[in-house]
Amino acid sequence: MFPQTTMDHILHPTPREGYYVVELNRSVWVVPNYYINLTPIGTGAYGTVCAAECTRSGTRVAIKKFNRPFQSIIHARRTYRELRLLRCMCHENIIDLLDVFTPNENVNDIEDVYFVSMLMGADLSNILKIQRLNDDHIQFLVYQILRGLKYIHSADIIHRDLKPSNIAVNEDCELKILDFGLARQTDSEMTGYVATRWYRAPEIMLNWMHYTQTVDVWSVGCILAELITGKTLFPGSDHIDQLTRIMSVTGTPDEEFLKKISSEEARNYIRNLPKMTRRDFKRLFAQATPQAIDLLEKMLHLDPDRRPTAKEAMEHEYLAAYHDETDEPIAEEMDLNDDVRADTIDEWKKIIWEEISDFQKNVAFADEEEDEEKMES
Amino acid sequence: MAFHEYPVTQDYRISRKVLGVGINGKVVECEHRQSGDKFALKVLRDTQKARREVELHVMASGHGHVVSVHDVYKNSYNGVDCLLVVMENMKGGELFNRIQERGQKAFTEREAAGIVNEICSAVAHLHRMSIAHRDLKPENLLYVTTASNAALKLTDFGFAKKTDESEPQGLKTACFTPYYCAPEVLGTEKYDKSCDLWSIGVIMYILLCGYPPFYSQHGQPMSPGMKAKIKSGQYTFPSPEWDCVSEAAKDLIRKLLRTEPTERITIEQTMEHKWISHYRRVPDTPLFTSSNLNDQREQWTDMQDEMEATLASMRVGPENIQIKSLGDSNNKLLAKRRKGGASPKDDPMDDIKEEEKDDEEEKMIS
Repeated sequence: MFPQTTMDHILHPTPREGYYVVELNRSVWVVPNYYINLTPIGTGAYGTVCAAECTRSGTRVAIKKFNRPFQSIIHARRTYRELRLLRCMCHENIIDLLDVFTPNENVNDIEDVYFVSMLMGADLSNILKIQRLNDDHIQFLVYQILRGLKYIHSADIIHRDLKPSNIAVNEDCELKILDFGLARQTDSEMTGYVATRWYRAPEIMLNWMHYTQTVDVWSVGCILAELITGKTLFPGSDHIDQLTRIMSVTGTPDEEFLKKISSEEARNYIRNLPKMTRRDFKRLFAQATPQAIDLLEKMLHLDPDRRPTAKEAMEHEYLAAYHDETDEPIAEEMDLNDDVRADTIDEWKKIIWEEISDFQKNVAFADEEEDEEKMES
Repeated sequence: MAFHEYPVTQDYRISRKVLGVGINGKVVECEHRQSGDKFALKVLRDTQKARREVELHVMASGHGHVVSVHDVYKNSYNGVDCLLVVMENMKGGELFNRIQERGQKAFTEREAAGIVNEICSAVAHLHRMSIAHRDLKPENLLYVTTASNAALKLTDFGFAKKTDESEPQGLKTACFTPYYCAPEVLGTEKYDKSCDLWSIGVIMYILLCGYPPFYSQHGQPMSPGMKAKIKSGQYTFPSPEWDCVSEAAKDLIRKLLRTEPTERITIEQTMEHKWISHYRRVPDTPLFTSSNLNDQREQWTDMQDEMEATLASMRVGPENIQIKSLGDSNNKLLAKRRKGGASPKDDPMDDIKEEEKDDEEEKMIS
């Protein structure tokens, strides 16, 4: 009828067996046949995200397509690190990796990588735009963040980028931490409208000293404050503005803390700032309970040595309704393959291809086990 | 929306030359069979979203700084319904590529003002028609030709939205009440439009220095000169790039890059700002933009990703969910906690707590 071949080079080539093509938001997705009804739901770190139905499991999932995972060695290493982290982690409050696939036929052609996880429906930044949470919600949400953090920290991993948009929640108040362990490889900190720096501990943002796991506890403090007030606590427009806003709440640091700052230039700068006293948190968070205020006081300390760990924070009376040490697991020893090295993108392609293949084999093996169990019963 | 239903190939000869960047195969060059004129042909799967994109682009078409739509077709290929949009062929390339290619020739503040004026006039046209573009980023700003006086035009209406239509209310938002609304949601029209104003602020900032705002590479946060800059309110304009930029330019950026959408100025107010309304009289100061854009080549795609993520986060969809009260929640962890709390006398932790207490006493002694 119409000349068929005229458009063939515009419409995309036939994908490999078991996969199909779908165009979304001017992007081409090639996914297995058992993921249907793809709907764009947003943009995450280094990738775009769709909701979909999985006909195998009967559940709704989130599929994340990475932006140019092999554009550079830095991109490739980042993709590999996230893949390893997600494969090794298994915790109720941390995002799970249900599937990982590439539609490309072989290792040399690999261009696209997709991760699949449980669909959570929203993140805290979405929730905060439309809903004021009551204290029950806030306690339980903060508890779950800390519960996930305890697990992460027990594996010697620091998230470094906790913020409302990296906390997934659903209608039933189930919570999962997303996109962690992805510190940027360069000194440049690219941030936009919703600034990562707003939730950064000052010692990491300003490179005062070697930082510890309590940088994440500072972020939780900022998030708790925002859940209570509905507003960002420290919405700094740049590093200096950020620091000024922080110190207007915490007060300028004492001499004991200044000694811990290794940079002489930074110490001198802070000494020359006008003196600021610590704000009265009872006035700053007038709508908060005394227990919440006390926890905020502890988490938002300038001195990271005086901040509680995630484990200690869960013991605070504000979270007493949910704290149960017998059900706050730590991580088994993880093999993150951090010593994997590659000097070329082709080598990284091979490494990531093998990791995906290994994942698929394990999934196939797990499926067989399930089948055997069904036959036995 | 009006479109032809006979084959596009009756009117246009379609070449194999792909014009679209990123995902190839989206936009190809075509030639009108009668006149020989060259156009760009965009192929979209026929969906509700694609129809909205085409409809809004057709509405906006005709303005001097919006890529024009000449024809729209609906055809079917291999069983797939497609919309085919014949658009103006933008041979001059992307905005920042144009500046990067200058080499040693200086890019000036007056040129930057002229460019921002063109962008603003396009956005003003859209906002007057109650259309928010919502994807205003450097890749969507293209030159008509390579001539130095070529017009800059806005393209890609994939995320555009009519701001005077209410969002359909589904079952998921049945419990939606104004009491819980953030101001941005209640005033959704203003919110959507202000998204474009933030984008203008970012593009303007990059035009004047060659790197994005809120970018920490330049300048040391702790340098001795920083204190003076804070006092004079220049803390977001690092030296040396911003030393020679006019105060009027900085004033406009400050008004565009406010984090609260409701505090951002409107496009009408932007057009009235003296840096825009008198763009021809802006100082003809050479800028660092061209050299910085070239130095930043490798990080440019990361910056693009960051801007895309920011725009996506500002396009708040109608499917926002709310958290149920904990009493109504079907939550495994919560269920465990409630079961555990029901029988305190059987708490297996008692012995462990005693041990912990002993440990604490030992620590205090030592």
